[in-house]
Amino acid sequence: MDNSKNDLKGEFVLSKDTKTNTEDAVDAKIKTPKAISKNSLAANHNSPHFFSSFSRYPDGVVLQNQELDEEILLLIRRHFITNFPWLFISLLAIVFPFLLIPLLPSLFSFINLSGITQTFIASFYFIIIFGYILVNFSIWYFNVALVTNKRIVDLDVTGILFRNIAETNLNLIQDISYTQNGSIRSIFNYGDVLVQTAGTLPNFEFDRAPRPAEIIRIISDLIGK
Amino acid sequence: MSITDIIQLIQTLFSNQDLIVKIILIVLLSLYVLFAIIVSRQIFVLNEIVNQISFSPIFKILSVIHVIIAILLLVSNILNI
Repeated sequence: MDNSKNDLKGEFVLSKDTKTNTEDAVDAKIKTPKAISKNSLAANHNSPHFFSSFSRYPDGVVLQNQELDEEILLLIRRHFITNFPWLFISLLAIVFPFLLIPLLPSLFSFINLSGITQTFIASFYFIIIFGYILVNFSIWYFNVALVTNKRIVDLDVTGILFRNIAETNLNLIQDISYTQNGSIRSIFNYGDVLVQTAGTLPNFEFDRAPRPAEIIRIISDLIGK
Repeated sequence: MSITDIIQLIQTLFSNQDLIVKIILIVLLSLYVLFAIIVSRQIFVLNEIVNQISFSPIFKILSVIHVIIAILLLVSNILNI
């Protein structure tokens, strides 16, 4: 494993580590058809949008330290419905002040602030909501698992300052399974996929991944090759 | 300055609610600008790790806009004091 990835685990990184391999990978994707395998040429490529949680042969996705002959076969994020709690809270937070405005004079009659100060308070409130949405979306967006023709990379972002990157080669995968408990998960077809690796290597878990059965099938096909 | 003067100053300060709120806002906004810069930086770094070429620039721009708005709000609040 590249040592720079060890430096990235669980740490807040200020400096950017530019890798020529990444630039080469981007160039290869754009300019050099030879970098693409024959199987993928026949496969249906698609450009995932910003709220894609499952994408096969995603175009326009580049992994850091991606090799020239490495191709991303599957992009997995948590099912988009899992964002419902913070989306609902954000919507409530946006609407709430407008419901409160008629009641403000009676509730806070002892407070006497100028119009400009009230505007500043309102602006600050809404920028906090914007920040809340940005952070929550970032956590969902960057919490991603990528399956390539060589390895599986799992980027876990638990907070805006905390992340863990793990990867394993496909030939080290021993077993793969999934669990889908509860009505919500069954209705929206998402579950936890567990990828067990050899020996003392850590296992991978794709938390609340969409179409878990399909993920299992895809990875099993890759292992079987 | 005697204790009476200090007490009188504090009373004057606290009698002006607008000033108190503005000071609190400036402090909170300063912290928020710091938070916005950190979030923006993390978004840039994470986009280097997993780069979705079609959306990555938009995401970076949104994070920068967030920082700019926070800074503008802070500066305008300071100037308005």
